[in-house]
Amino acid sequence: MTRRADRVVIAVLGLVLAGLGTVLVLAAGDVLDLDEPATLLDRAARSIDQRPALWLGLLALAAGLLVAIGARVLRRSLLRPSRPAAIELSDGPRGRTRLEPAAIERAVRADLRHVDGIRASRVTLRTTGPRPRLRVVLTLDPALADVAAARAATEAAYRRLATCLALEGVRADLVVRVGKRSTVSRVH
Amino acid sequence: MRAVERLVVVVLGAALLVVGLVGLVEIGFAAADRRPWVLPLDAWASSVRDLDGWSDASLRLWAIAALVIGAALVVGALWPRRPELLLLGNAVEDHHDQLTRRGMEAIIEESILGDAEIGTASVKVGRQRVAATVGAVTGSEPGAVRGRVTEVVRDRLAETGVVGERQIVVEVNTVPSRVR
Repeated sequence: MTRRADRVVIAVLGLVLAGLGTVLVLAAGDVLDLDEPATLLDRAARSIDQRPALWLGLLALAAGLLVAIGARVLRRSLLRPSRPAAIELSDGPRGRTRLEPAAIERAVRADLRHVDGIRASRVTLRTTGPRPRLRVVLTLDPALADVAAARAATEAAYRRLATCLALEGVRADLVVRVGKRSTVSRVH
Repeated sequence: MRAVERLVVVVLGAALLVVGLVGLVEIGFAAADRRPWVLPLDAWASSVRDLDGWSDASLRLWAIAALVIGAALVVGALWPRRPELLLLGNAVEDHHDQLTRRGMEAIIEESILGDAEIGTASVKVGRQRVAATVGAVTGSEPGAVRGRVTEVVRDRLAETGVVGERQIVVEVNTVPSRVR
């Protein structure tokens, strides 16, 4: 789940709580002209008794909505996106050749391993097809951090991958990070 | 902060799921004319009837708690913060390149510390501006240091290709020796 989505969920919860609190505070201060709590409760109970199908149906809808939202929030927060199926390279009378996503990820990682300044890389294949989507996270050495060179190296790796697998191209999301300095303190 | 946000969201998601599921079960029990399963609905109804109107002290306490917690959550969620990722320009079509804000700050700090007259450097990159606080060694000329640091910041931003114009603000302090 993205940070922005997290914030929207928190803000909505906050608005609901603050709205409820405001209504109760206004009612307590006689600013809102509401019936007494016991009267409202009795009226609600009578209404449910008179039309149970309608009210239970509405309550079930609301509860179902809560279950759906809760499940979606939890799934997006806790579960990783599912891995795509293998890429089919060929399917002919002699058989079928498929390539697992892990093989593609390893190939791109290996391609980037020996680039100067790149300390580590993490590659994830998000989707397959003629233009697969990759997510690449590079960690650069702070002393040699050349973002332009790292980007050029990844572009070259994408091109090699596309050529090697006869793909139309590669869509990519690249995140460049800079690692921590290995020396904690120096005195000159 | 990110960890707190995620924790709040996970707790919220779990709470919504549990409340919804329990609610569905209780609605099913009510539809079948059976007693509630886990929720003490009779006790809750009795508590509501025992309230001393809307100005009941316990209700007022809950109202204020809900208002304060809700307002804190809204303010916390909407408070403007520095971006985690900075978009890099001139990307190939269908390629989306980003640099972490901390990475950009580290690159600029490393470059600033290449100056022999600067002992410490702290850089904060925001959406609109870059603030650099440097410790120049005793005897150095603050105005000259400020100019060099401004140039370094501008160069690093341009080299990395970070999208967007940012005001560069440099604060120069004096440090006794070059320690980092």
